[in-house]
Amino acid sequence: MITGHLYSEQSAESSTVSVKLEAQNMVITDNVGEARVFTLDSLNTAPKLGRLPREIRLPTREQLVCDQSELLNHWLDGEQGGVAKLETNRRWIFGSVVLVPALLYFVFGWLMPWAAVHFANLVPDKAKVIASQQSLSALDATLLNPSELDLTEQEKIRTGFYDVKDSISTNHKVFSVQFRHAPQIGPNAFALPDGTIIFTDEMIALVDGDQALLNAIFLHEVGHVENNHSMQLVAESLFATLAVSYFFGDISGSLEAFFGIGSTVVNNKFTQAHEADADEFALRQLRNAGKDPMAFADAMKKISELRPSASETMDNWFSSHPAIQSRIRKAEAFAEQE
Amino acid sequence: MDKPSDYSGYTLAEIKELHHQLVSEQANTPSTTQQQQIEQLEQVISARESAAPQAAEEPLAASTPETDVVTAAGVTRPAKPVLRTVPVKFLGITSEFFSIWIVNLLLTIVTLGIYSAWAKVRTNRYFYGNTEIDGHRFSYLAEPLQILKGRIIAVVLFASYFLAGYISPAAGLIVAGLLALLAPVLIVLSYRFRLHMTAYRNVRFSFRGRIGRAYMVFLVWPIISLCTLYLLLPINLKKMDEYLLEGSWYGDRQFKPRLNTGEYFGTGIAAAAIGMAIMMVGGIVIGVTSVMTASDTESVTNVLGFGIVALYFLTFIIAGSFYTSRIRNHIFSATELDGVAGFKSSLAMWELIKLRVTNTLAIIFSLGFAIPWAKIRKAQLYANVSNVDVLAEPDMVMAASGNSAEAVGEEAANLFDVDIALG
Repeated sequence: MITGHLYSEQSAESSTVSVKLEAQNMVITDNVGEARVFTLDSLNTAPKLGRLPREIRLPTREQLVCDQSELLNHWLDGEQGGVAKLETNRRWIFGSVVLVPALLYFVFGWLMPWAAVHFANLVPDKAKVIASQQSLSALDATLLNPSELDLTEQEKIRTGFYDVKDSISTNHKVFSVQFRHAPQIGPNAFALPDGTIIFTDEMIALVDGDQALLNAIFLHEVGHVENNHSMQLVAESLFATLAVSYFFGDISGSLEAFFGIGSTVVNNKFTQAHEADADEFALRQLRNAGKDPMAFADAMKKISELRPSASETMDNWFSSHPAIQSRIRKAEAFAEQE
Repeated sequence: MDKPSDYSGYTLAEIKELHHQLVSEQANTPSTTQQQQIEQLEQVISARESAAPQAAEEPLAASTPETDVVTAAGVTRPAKPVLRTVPVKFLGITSEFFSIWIVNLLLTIVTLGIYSAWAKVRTNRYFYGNTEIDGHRFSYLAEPLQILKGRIIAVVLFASYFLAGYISPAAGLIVAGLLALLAPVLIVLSYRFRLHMTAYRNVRFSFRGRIGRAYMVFLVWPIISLCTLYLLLPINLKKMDEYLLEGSWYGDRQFKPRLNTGEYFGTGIAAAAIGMAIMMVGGIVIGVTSVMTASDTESVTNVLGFGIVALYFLTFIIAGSFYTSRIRNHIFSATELDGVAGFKSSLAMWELIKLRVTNTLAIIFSLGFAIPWAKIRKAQLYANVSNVDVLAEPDMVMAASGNSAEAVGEEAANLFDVDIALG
């Protein structure tokens, strides 16, 4: 005989009842000895969970709550244990402890970048043009000023770039190079998804207008455009944010701040992968265009002189770009192999 | 109970209930004061039954003035004796929840997040079902498909906001503006869903706050508070708590908060002062240490970086714990579930700080495996410091959907019953 709590359907009243289980029927007897019979099919039972008492909704909208027992569980669930069976199975628990980190690594390291590539290819060119124009005008309104280089110099560098571009084959057809004066940003170059590539005056000054080095940097940016990296990054950050919130759910307060740092690290891993891809693209295309890939290593060295880095591991986690020394080493290794 | 109590604010049924309760208690643990109270109650019952046999069920409060007592919070509430004070018990076990969590996480990852709706229901059922007050546990009644529906809506909203921001900053601003306009509705829907899915003794909770007031509290007031450089933020926070509490019902009983604006101002100002003091002292300490310990500029930046992150955590945890513990204790003592229950919370700031620091460190150093442990400890602490004063036997609380008109309203509510939240 099982005892349980029977809760009324219309108030918070409750009473202790005794429950008898027959083949397909449950007999509930109240404290004055009145018995009612319910068939198993008519009961709506919440799935077994841990050692929680079983919550059984009767067709009368009353609720019967009984402590778990093997007899009751078996009568309610039959041979099916549902998820509770997995949650109490040693093999599943230990398997999960091993598989969860492995799968997280797989999802963030492979699945998301893979899905992002496909997502990026779906973005129509028109959207990329709008996105680029809007971003550039937002930047022009805030961080970028008109270039202070004279027009002949701009034209000379540009012609150099277009010669390189014409000697390689690209999927993306239109590349336009623009110059901006950006004291707040400093030496930099970046590509917009529609093939617009911006060089800051400070970047030109850093390499003393050396066309060979500028070409290497230009090809790196072309690599970003060719691989559709900006759209991929949008998709990757979106997927990562959703995954973190759905996998780890309602984690509040200080932990959320911690996960904020976590998602920065994850995003940095994505952008670092993009940079490595673009580096490789630049090195290969330099060679295809009959130029010396060492120019890329030289350009990186110029940048590294600018911001020496003491700790490579810190950089590795908290920077959007790969550690610059390793980029130089890779470029040199590539240039040396024939 | 030396002096006779005043029962004029009570219905006859309530007095009989109290009498019944005392008699059964007396049978277990006899005491003379209790015996006196029982005799007094019997006199009141017989006096009322003979005086007004027809109107026996009517409360006599209208004819006799209520004696009010002033509580510690400085608010007045009708004197109603506490039948008994019962603890809130949390019965969850870390090892058991860890197994549930890790298996559900595996299933969630394998299904690319879809199973997260089922996982959320199981997690909530575990925490609600292991929370016990007065011998009865809570239930979480949501169906996974309802959660899934809400999550799909949330993903669509979030993704459109996110993508719009990338395609064009202007479009991003427009979507952000629309979402801000929608925010009060989303807050109310999700709060309503959560309460409606919570039951105790087979009676559901519900939320009946008006959307119009939600717009005042969650949109207009934050703008006012922003315009006053957050000087009026405490009023805003008080209004938010008040709105959510006043709209909350357990069956046919409303939660009645009597929150104190002064308490919110005092706590808010003190929390801000604590935060600023930690920032200032900590900033100086970090500055000095980084210059003293580091040899070159690079390591100075590194030490500074770590120091600032640590300082931010410390400030957030200490000032946050101060505010949370004080306001929680105030809300509990100032709120009554109409005629049925009063609440007490004695959450100490240091306990909360200890919990948050250890939980955060444990999760970081265990690479996330301590999340279930942290959640169980949090639930344990919050339960341990909470008590409920039973003012009347809750048997008489009626389910709100008792009559058919309400039941129709409930069906309509189901259409919009979604918890639109990412987490």
